[in-house]
Amino acid sequence: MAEELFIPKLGQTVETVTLIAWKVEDGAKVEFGQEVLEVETDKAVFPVEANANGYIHLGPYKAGDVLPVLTVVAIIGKQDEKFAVSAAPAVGAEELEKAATEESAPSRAVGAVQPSSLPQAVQEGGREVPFASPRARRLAVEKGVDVRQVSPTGGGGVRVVEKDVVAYLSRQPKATPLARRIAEAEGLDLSALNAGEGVITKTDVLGAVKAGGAVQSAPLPISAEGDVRERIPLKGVRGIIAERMAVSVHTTARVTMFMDADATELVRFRKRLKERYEKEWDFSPGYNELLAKICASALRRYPYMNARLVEDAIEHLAHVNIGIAVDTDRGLLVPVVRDVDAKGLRQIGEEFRQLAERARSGRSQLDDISGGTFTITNLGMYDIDYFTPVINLPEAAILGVGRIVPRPVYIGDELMRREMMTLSLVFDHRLVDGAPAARFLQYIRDLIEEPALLGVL
Amino acid sequence: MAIMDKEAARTIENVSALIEEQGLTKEELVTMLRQIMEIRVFENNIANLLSKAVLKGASHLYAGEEAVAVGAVAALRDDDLITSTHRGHGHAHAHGDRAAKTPEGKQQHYNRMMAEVLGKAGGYCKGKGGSMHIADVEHGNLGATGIVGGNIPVAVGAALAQKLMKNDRVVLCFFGDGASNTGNFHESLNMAALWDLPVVFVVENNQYAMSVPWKKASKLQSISARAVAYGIPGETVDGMNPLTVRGAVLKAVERARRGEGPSLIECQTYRWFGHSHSDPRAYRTREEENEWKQRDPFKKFREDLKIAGILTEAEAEALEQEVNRKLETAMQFSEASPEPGPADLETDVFAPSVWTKQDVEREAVLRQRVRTDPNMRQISYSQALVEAMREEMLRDERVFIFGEDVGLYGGAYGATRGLFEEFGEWRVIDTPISEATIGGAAVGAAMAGMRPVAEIMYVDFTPLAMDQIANQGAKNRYMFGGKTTVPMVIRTEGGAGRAIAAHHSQSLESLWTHFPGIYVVMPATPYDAKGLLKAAIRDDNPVMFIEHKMLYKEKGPVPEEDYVIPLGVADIKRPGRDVTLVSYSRMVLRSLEAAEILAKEGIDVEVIDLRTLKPLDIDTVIASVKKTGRFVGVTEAYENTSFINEVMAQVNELAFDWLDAPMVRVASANVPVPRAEVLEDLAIPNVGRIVEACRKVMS
Repeated sequence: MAEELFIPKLGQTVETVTLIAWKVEDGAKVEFGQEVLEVETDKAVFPVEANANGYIHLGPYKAGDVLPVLTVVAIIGKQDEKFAVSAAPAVGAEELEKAATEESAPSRAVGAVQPSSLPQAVQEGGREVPFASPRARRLAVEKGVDVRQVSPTGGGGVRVVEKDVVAYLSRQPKATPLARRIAEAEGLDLSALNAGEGVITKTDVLGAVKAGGAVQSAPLPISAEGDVRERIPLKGVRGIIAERMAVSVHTTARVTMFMDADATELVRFRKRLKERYEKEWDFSPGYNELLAKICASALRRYPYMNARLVEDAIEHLAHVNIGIAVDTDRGLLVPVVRDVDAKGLRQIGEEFRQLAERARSGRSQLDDISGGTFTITNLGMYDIDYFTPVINLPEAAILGVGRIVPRPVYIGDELMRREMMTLSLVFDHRLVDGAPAARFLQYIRDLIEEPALLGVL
Repeated sequence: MAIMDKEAARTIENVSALIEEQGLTKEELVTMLRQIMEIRVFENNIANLLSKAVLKGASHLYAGEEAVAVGAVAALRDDDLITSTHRGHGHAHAHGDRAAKTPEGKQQHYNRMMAEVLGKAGGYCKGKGGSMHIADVEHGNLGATGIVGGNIPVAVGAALAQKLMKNDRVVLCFFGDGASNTGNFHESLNMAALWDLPVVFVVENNQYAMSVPWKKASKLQSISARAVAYGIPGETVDGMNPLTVRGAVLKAVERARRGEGPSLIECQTYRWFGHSHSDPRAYRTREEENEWKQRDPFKKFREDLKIAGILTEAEAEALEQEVNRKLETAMQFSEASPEPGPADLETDVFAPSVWTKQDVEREAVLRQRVRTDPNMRQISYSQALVEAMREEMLRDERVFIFGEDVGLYGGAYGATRGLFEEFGEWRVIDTPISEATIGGAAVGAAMAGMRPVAEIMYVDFTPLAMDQIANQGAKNRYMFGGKTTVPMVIRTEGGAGRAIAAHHSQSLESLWTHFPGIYVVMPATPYDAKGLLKAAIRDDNPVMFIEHKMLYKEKGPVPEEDYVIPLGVADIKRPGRDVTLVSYSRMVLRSLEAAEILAKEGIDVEVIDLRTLKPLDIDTVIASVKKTGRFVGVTEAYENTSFINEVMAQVNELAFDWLDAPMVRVASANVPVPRAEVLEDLAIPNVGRIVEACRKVMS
């Protein structure tokens, strides 16, 4: 039987998407993982990939249509099949319930739903996270263990405690942390990988991923006419950038502050990290990750900067999720590293590298680029000293990072050569006043000047 | 005209007689007038700032009463001491102006007073004390208190220090009619009289304690008549005339200096303004106010000096201009003086630690030896305490002991036994049953240079002395901008176990840990008791040293050499892997018993004895929690707001991510400690409950 291709549920808040373009012709032969459709949410543009090998038969949907998530938009099967929706639509239990009470579109009639046909996302979201002791949670984060997989024994079987995580780990196949993370990102089950008696490495995982099918992204269509040399349609990433930048600039009360920071110690610190960990980690942390860690510490200390404005309130946010601007062929993308304050440099670095790689190859998932609470944008590599970036709504502020360049500086009475940089903090004055924002920036500056304190504060 | 002349003639006669009698020079008289004028313009200026709402905070103005402070301080010698009150600008000025020896110094003093009232960093107390807490301990002004009657015991203590140091300085203690009805007044006058202490009690009877007139507050209309009850001289004088005040105080000061004991001088006076800025003065008539204002020392003393031919009108006017200029300068100084910086918030709470890293390391080595040396002598907890005090008294002659039954009797629990015989009745002093004044006298003696070790027989009685120890002793350093130290030890004991019920069995340490500025020490073993008491005596801060009544007979190894245990270092009494058990005092012993039982079940408990609750060695606790992931706190205090709750809060803040189970506490029932042994046992944590708690965090 043909496989139904549906619009994935791209996040908890996404109810509808706009169809941008089909990437394949009706009836074309497609491969599992091939990008066949491009849709847009209020946050970004996402590819929809083929979920089977075969011939694709498109539904009656065209560019511009607004579709609820989980709508079946095509089927992939034999060459001679025709598009039709089965009796049991690929609709989540939530949606079914909603349909039942709200009497929505007839195509979403209530039917017998096989649990196995429920999309993964709902299953994930609906799964309860058990209680875990702080110590167990800490170990789980450190080892990359999903506590939902761990059987609790603490407090009479209601709480995951440290020894439960330890027991869980002892049953897991041995893999390097990097391999584990790549596998997690790719949705690969490590226990399915046969590494014999040895430890599963990055190479093993990447090999398995490649075998599963690589994804190629199609270039954006280009049109040109008249005396316009080239026409770039305001859609996709570009369209979203255009819209969101304008909204941000027109609705926020932007204030920019510049502050010089002596980065000599930061440069030295980064060099030491590189010498010490590059071999072991397979990479060494860049300034972006170091600054993310510094900003996370600052955001924890000054929670008013880790905030967003909603209709009638300013909300200080529980998580410190830092977006780091990445320049891609398609335009600016801001992948978000989650809970930066709770993670070590190594984990931040690994996650950011994966996120950036996915962003550059056009394979960012919605979760990759949403949920940020603060953004860092670095133009130092282009010799920019300072600039006034646009706040990435609904965040409260953005930090522009300039180049690091030697300058003569007075230390006491002595003129010295120091590696200097300029920080540009743009913040939304609706949420935060000048002096508190300045204190936040000072704190960041202090940590740049004395990065050794990172481990202490 | 004839009447005026007659009156003038009488004034000349009176004033001249007083001047002659006291042998005062023109310079001295003009100084008194200048001080009166300076206090008046200072107070009027503050009233003005308050009414313009430029100045915040309470200000109790001295205007109208100037003759008392100026006259009384004029009777002192430069090295004498004073204590002051919430209405204290007059005392502070008369004293400070006298202490400053140059015109520049006098201006600086005036500036610092004004800046302090305005809460500026340039003030006497760096803006931390304000109007009610101006002090200049270095020059003998032991400071003002915001508690009515709060400084009377402190003055007694300062006078006791003079007596013990065998010098002839006198303490002048100002307070008001209101304070004369506090228990402090009675306890203090009795104690000072009993020991013939060199203190002069000056009551400023301004007729009203806030709104209540004296006649509604006392059956006896004369305050000075109360002196009879204590067997000391008492006298009521005209407090509107600096010369009569000076004459009476001088007589009393000379008596005190001769070692003949205290006197009580009641000065009849009146305050021009209300009790404070917010007081509408509805309790007194404008007629009464006007009647008193006829005797305004600001005008009257000036006139008197003119009539007596001491001062010309031109001189008086020049003086007035000089005073106004001085006020202007003081305001300019105060306005220019910066606000205290945020960094000042937490400075001056405690005197700097006298303990070095070497002390801590040395003690750690010694502790190891105590634990492992089988040949070390064993002595009891009470013997260890006696040794500690004896050694410190031999080492430092400023150390003395006083309290109820500490002398011949040797203390209710024998912790001072033998010291009276060795050191005599003036270094081991039996006191009347006057807890508040024992506490306050310790504060005053400490501020005046002694190192008192005061005993309060039961911790249950320490609330009687709480104002003195906590409001004065613990806070004075901070309120006075770090310009005093209060090196005193209050020894007391607590705990249940003797079936002596609710007033003799409590563990009240958290009353004391709550106040900033005082340390709280609670030893569990003879070794700790000796080393910690010696350290507490040598420390420059107030220390509440709480022993346990059930431990006095417990024996343990104690080195014979001189040693101290620096305050703020916990002791891991038993290392372990699985559970961090934090306790102190007697409960340490029960915790160790529980740990042995649990060891048989394979649960390895680490028992930490805090030894000092303040300063708290949280680092040792956190390091242990990071290792074990589990926390049990054991205390004999009532569970409700016990100190162990504070330790738990800090663990939560500092090591939440290392916890593998909810923290558990074992504490006493929230009931008054009952007499019946069966109920007492139920109320107090026992070994079984501690074992259960550890099992619970392991489940």
